Amino acid sequence: MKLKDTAKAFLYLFPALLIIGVFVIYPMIKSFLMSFYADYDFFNDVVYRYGLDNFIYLWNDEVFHQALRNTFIFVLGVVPISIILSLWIALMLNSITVLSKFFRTVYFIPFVTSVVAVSIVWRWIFHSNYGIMNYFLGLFGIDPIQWLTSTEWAMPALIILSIWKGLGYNIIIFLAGLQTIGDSYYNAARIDGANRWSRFIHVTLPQLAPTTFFITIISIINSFKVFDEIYALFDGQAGPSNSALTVVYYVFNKFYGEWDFGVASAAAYVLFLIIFIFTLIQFYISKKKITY
Amino acid sequence: MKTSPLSKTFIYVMLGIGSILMLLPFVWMISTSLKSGNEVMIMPPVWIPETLRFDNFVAAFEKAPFATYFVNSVIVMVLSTLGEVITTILAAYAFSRLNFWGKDALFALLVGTMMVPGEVLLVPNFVLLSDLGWIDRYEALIIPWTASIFSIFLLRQFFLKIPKELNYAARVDGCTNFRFLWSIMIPIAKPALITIILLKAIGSWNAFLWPLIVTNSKEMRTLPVGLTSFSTEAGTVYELLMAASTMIIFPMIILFIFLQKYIIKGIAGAGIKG
Amino acid sequence: MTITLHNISMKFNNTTAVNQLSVTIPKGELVSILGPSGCGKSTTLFMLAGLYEPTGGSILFNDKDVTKLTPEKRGIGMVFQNYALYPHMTVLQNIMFPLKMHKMKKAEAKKKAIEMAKLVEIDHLLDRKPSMLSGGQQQRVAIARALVREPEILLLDEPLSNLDARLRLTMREEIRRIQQALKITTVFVTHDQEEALSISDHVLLMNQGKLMQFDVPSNLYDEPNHRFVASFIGSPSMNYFDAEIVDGTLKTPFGYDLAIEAPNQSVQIAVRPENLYLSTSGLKEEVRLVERVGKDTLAVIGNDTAKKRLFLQKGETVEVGQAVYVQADKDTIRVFQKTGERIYIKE
Repeated sequence: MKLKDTAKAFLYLFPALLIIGVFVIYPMIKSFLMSFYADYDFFNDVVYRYGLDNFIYLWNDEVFHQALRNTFIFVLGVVPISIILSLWIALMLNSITVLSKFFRTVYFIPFVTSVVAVSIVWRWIFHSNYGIMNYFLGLFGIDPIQWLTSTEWAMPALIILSIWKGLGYNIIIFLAGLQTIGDSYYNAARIDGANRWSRFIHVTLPQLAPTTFFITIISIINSFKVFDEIYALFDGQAGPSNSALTVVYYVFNKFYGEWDFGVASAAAYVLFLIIFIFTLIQFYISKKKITY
Repeated sequence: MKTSPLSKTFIYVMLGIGSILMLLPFVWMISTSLKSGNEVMIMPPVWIPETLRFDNFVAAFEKAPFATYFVNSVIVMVLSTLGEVITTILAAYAFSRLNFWGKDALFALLVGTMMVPGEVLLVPNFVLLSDLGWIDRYEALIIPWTASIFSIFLLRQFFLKIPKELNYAARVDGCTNFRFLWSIMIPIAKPALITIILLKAIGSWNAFLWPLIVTNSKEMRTLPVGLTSFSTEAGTVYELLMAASTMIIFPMIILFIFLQKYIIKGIAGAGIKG
Repeated sequence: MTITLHNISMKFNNTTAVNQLSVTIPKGELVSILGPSGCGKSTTLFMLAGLYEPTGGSILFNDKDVTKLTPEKRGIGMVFQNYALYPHMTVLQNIMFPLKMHKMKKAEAKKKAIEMAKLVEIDHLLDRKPSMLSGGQQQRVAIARALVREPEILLLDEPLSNLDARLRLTMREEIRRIQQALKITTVFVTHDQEEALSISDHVLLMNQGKLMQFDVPSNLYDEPNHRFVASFIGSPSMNYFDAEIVDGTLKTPFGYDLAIEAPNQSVQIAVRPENLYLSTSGLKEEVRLVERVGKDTLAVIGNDTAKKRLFLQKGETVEVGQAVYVQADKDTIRVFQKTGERIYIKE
């Protein structure tokens, strides 16, 4: 490797590295430092003191605790249901030929649409008097639910919307995973006399383990970052009395509402840490369990 | 796998019901967007309005500068996609075909930063753009989004699959590095590039949090930001809100239906490799 | 054009792919570089092409030093193992591409490309994409592309290895035909000795980055200068017999002694299977296996640790388990030191 080659490669890399360096790497470091700003003047860009004050603030802040709690509830609400549903649909799509492409397209459409726009559509669907959600529930004799204005139903509404939006993505990944399972496995299992259910348990599921693992990580990470849906669904609020306040929304409020950059950065790093830990746990489990 | 006719029927029924549930919000959106104010507020709901009021769309355009929002969204989408394609091609070429000092370490660093959620970058990027004086300007909406590590990763994987011998053959034939990239690699990588362009275009069109933060004036808003501010202003005029939502949602649905092959391939491919 | 390699070496990180190779390839000849995989033969070819720059030594085309010259300035054409056709271009565009890169006018380039396509007999396929061609046709396109700039040297990297057996025979004759029609100096890398021995004027045999022997095919077979060459060339492989040199005399296992000018040592005597024959005297061995190889009958004799092979003469029959005497004439035996070097017997 010669200096000349490195110089030439640098010319090719320069545009990308410039943008990524300025708008990804530098902010990453800066944000880390900002989370330790204890006393600073943003307008003159002077830091008088560094310290753990921001993290201590978060540790004691009831609102932040609520944001954390809500985010975990949201993740627990969305991820398992979404994965089970999408796996089921993918299996059904994989077993038919006629119309399978059509169905795949239909299920995927929500994924390519604007989160903000569909959330506003869902706001209208969840309308307590004139929304179709309550209308359909009414057909089953269920009384109208205050989806978006009551603290206990705001989160379920958000979860329903998010599952609907993200289902198509998971289905596509599962379908891709299913296509890598060769017919020979099924034939072998059939010769061994395995019925449909035991074929699913002993052939499909283990073979799909890496795919499921990937989808789980991606779903968890994406769910931890939920924001747009909440902003649009509750019209610029975080749900009635912060019932749909998530960590990113908290960051947004601290930063854009209160201009408290230090706390906002600290909260963002807490989010990063949580995501990072989940990634590590997932990797650890997958290394232990997926053995073939 | 062989499936019995009975369970096949069951599968089609379930998938059919599922599809209806997936599409219902869009049907409801379009239906509402064509209703009169009176038809919107009735129970049980009306699915097909008495008269189709296409003037709701005109009314939405009059109530808020959606034409401006639309133009802004298109400008941001086109320019940021163009920028990203250029930076991605050059970087992916360097990472897949050139030898240079620190290549593996640099690539690992870039892939590692993909783990960091974009939300972490929000505050310092905002501060940086304020210092640059770019807030409420196209620069803020476009320039930070003209490079993507994910795209570089995707295209590099594709470039690596192109046999090295083509590189050698081209050198014997008298190609320079750049000429080889332009005349050989890019034409071959066309499917991957289309995937990257489409994913980027969709992402840019739908982006919300960043444009919300870096724009102040109506003149600079993109469609999603414009829609939320319109929704705060228009409040409960749902027929107009739905008309505006339709305008944002439809271009992407059309794009997807015609080019879904590339989009699905890109998403599935990225997923399998992890 | 004469090609001279002078002490060239190529090191990748810590491994030496080519070690101090010196050879002169005569003008207008077809020369094969032969050797087991990983012996550095492709590396040598890539250095000739200018795709690798040697870490030591120099390369001369005629008397011009081209060691530092980039590939397109060397006046070479090259064909790769997987053909390396540009998949998005038609056959015609592929052949025209080198001319386009050298700024030839389009009409003229097209004329030349078609001319070249005719030479390799693919002028009926000009509008096809490479993916629509058979392996043999792709090969011809690759050759046409390599030759279109009228290079003075043609380099081929394992050009036949991706073809099926029958096509390989046709294509190697084609390559020979085209080479002789153009009288172009051609260097051809292969791991297939039959290929190398059948069409080459000279063969350059390499092992572990070193030149083992550079010779005409018949000498490589009959007069190997090293035990590696003897073992590598020929199928079924060479038979080896242990022997001793004592006081200027080689004591052969066949019952006769030969005068030899070498110090006392243990040596190995090599005899080709077709030169070993049944006799009434000589070395006594047991028959292990008898098999038909085409028109010949091959007998495997000896014990598990030292099997020998020989072809039976017409009319001879042996039974498995039978004890036989084998013999080799003194002009057919080749003697090698334990280190592999040849010891020549004085006539």
